[in-house]
Amino acid sequence: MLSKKIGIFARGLSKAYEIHSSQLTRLKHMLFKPDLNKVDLFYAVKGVDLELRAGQSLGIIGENGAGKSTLLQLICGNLAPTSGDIEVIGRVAPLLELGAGFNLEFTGMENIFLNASLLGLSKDEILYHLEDIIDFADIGSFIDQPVRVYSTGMYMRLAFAIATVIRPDILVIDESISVGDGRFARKSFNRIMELKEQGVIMLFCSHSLFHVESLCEEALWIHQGQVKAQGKTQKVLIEYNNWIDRQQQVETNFGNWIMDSDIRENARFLNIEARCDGITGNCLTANSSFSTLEIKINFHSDPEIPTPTAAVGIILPDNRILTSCGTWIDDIILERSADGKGVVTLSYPNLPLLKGEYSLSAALLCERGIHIYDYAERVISLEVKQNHRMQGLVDIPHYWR
Amino acid sequence: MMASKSYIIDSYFSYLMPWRERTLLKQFLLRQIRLKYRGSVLGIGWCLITPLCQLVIYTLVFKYALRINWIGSTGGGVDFALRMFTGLSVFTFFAECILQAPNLVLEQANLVKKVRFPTEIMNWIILITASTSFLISMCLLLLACVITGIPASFAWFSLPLIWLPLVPLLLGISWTFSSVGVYVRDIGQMLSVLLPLLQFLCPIIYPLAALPVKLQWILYLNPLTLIIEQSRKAIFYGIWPDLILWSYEMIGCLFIALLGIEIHKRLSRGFADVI
Repeated sequence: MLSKKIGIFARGLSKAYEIHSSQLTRLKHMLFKPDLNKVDLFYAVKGVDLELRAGQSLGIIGENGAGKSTLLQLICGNLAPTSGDIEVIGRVAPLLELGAGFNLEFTGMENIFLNASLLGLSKDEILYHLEDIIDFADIGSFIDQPVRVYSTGMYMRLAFAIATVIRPDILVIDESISVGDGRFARKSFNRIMELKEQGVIMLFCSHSLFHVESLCEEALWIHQGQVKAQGKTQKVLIEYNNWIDRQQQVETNFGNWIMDSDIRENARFLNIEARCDGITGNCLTANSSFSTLEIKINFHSDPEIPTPTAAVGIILPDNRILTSCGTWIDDIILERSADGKGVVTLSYPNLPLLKGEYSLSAALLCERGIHIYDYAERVISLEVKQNHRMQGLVDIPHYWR
Repeated sequence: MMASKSYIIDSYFSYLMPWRERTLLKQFLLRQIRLKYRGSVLGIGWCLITPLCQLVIYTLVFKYALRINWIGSTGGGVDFALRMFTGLSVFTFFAECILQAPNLVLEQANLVKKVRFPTEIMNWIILITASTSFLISMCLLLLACVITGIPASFAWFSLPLIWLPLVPLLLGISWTFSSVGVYVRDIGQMLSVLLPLLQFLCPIIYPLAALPVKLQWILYLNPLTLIIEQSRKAIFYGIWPDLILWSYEMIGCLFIALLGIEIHKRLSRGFADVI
């Protein structure tokens, strides 16, 4: 089904909303194509150029109301552009906001047929995929209930199942991925990775920069409807992060991460303990180049899922990450008991940080280091002292000759 | 190459022949039928019972209570009831399609906003469901005619042709109202006031011939007039329709359909913006 021809090509794509004093004037303008200059316009998206081909994935980032969703809607074709051209070649599966196009009065089963035929499938194709969709959505007997009685999670699962099982050429995901319990989130990440490997074009819009970075090679930062940066994800994210840092005041939250007992197909921190020079606590003081900092992570995971991985980052006061490390990068496999509990300790010997205030965040992730099961943001604060006057943040291993 | 502009550029043709959307059409149709008869004991039987009751009651009332003659006929009350029923069925068919039109797009808000949804098929669905009950009514009418002694005629076979202009006519008006209805929500209320008045401007309880000749042309401006008159002539007198008049009617109705398509096409670009 995938051909090399699939792609998204946009030139100067713009979407403006006309601001009218009444619906009647709006109607008149729509019917008789008046001079747009005389109407008050609000540009939600302005002058976006895009070119995506098979196998490419694009993350769209930006603040709330920056025009991300409008851009995705333009690509999906349910909004008509005001000016500019857009050509989308291939079957688009949209996951816009919560759940794609469902008719709330229809049952889940009827919506599978409705939604899939809107996506361009014939009846035979739908029947062919039907079992997979029902299996993947995994909402049991609710499949025969009207969608209106669904929970947010079930709604989302059904929408996701349809959009991904039908083998689209282009998958458009708007934020929705974070919905659903751990079990489903994991499953959906795996499915997305599978599709990506098959050459599906992915458009992904999220506030989770981490997800954007792990799923997309390229990123587009949109601000007030206009492209502010576009290119390799890392480059764009750095620009975006720097910009955010300048906008926002730093907030810290020590140790207020949530304990959740539900670990079905999921994993949670039980406890994170930091220890420096024999002192345990979450506000520690260390001596540069001398102290040994140890972080002991207790976790609990569903024994059914692959062993999770852990990551720790050292965060600067301005929210930038100074350094981080992850077990999947260092080829460490966490050990856990039969009931899924385990402990891992990370050591920084001769702590190479220079004088300053730091904090530490920890995360528990899936075996590929993509989906985050649990995240403890800035759980530990660390003040580093030094007995010399060298400047900087870190003491890089070095020698003189 | 399977190239498609992502926004809706549907040709006029795909409006009038929604073959591409047949799967979708079928689903909504099945759904509509299921919804209509869900939980009812007689189910689809109501399709027959409703017009049958109407027909029986009209016949009884006009035969025994009102005892009036159709203008230009001496057939009595039953004859009057059957002739009135002919016109009334056509009008009911018309009203059923038009009254539902203003809300058709609004009811599918979720689909319009989230996916590319060809809203024009909703009008087809209403047309198809309404035409089924219309055809059933008409079959019952013909049956009643035979029972009451009106001779069956070969001209009855021309009835589908006589009714054919209703298809573009109803679609055109319904596309117009359903797309304008998205922007101006008062259309629904307006129609519920206007339609009963329009009923008197159709030759339903009187034949066109009852009017002074000078005024008859005014009634012909109403596209339903010719359809009702020709149906009655075919059913009760076995007269084949005048094909020249019929083609004028057809052309007029097709023109209304094209107008409806054009309005719907222009307005549908903004549906997702205002819903």
